[in-house]
Amino acid sequence: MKKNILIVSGSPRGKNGNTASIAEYAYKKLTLEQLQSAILYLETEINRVENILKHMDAADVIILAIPVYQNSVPGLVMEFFEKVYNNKNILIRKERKLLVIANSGFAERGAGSGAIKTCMLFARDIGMVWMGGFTAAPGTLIDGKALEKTGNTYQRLRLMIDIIPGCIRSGKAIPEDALHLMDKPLMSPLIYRIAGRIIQRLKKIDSSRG
Amino acid sequence: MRLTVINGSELDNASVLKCLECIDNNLGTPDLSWEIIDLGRYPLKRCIGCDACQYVNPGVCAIADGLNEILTRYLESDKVIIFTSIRFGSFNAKTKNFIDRTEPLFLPYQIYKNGRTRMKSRYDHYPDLLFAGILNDEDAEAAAAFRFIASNSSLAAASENVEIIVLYCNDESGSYIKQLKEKGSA
Repeated sequence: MKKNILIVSGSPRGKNGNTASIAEYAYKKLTLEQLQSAILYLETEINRVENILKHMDAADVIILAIPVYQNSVPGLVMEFFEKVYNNKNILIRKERKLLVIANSGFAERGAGSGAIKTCMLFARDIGMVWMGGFTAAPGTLIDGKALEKTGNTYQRLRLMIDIIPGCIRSGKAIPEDALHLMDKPLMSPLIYRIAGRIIQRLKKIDSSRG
Repeated sequence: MRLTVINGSELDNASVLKCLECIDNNLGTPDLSWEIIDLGRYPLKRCIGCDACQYVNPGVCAIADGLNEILTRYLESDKVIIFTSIRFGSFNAKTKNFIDRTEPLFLPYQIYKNGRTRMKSRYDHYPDLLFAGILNDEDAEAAAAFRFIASNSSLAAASENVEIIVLYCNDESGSYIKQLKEKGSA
């Protein structure tokens, strides 16, 4: 039976930004592999609960792309979780899998672990099978570009997304050793922090209350 | 002492006051002035990630829905208690929207402190902080996740004294069965 994949893009920035770039790359990969997919942007769709539930109902696999806000999912994604949970009895009973791709503003080991954990507990409470979750740390250097144009920095992230179609076809979770590929930050945390400071100083950021 | 209670939970203010008694906060102390801010009365809009609080009007959120006034009261307090319902091991949406919008209290610089990256504080002083998370049923996994997430928030990192408490609330009797308390510091 043909599998339906729903990619939920959970950034408050909608179709702009790094989370959208990740969601769109995943969509392209799945489509190239002839897997039926759709993207739902929470920023525009969050108040259309019936539409969200309709897409959730049809989906066998949900790929959730999220930014990390304050070590967890953004408020927008928590609203989505609460709305789906409140309506979980309406959803057709079938096996659904959840896979999460997070992106963090910190270049740090474990940067997305709080957000991933939030999503795992959502999967648990809603009765979805956990397929795996990983974080691009940092995701900021995607800078809203198409992921295929982000060079070596995001090679590991592209590789991780590239293995998703195979996992969906075989009905397996993302392998543990693949998940570990994303443990190490995508660039040196020290260089990232120093470069960030230099850039802010060049922009002459005002440290007063304004 | 100035105490501000920020209620983002699904409980009403009266129930939150009962919780406060449970966690030993003596509201009757003569020198104490306190208030409850009920996030449900706003409700606050979610953070839109515009970064205007960093680059356009530093320290000020661009969305004028009362959030900036809450942040001012936050900074003027000696202690803040944030009540939330724990959903999926994290803050519920109402509270999380507030937590996300505390970004104006920080600078767009990352620093490394106590083994983790955090955003640099914009101000010299932040209040002592207590996170009170409310669960309907015992759920060790959700409680542990909440403690981890709350302790890694920017607000927790900026405060010198942070406590995280998980309360189990029995809705039917309105009584608060159990309290698990864990002290943590930024």
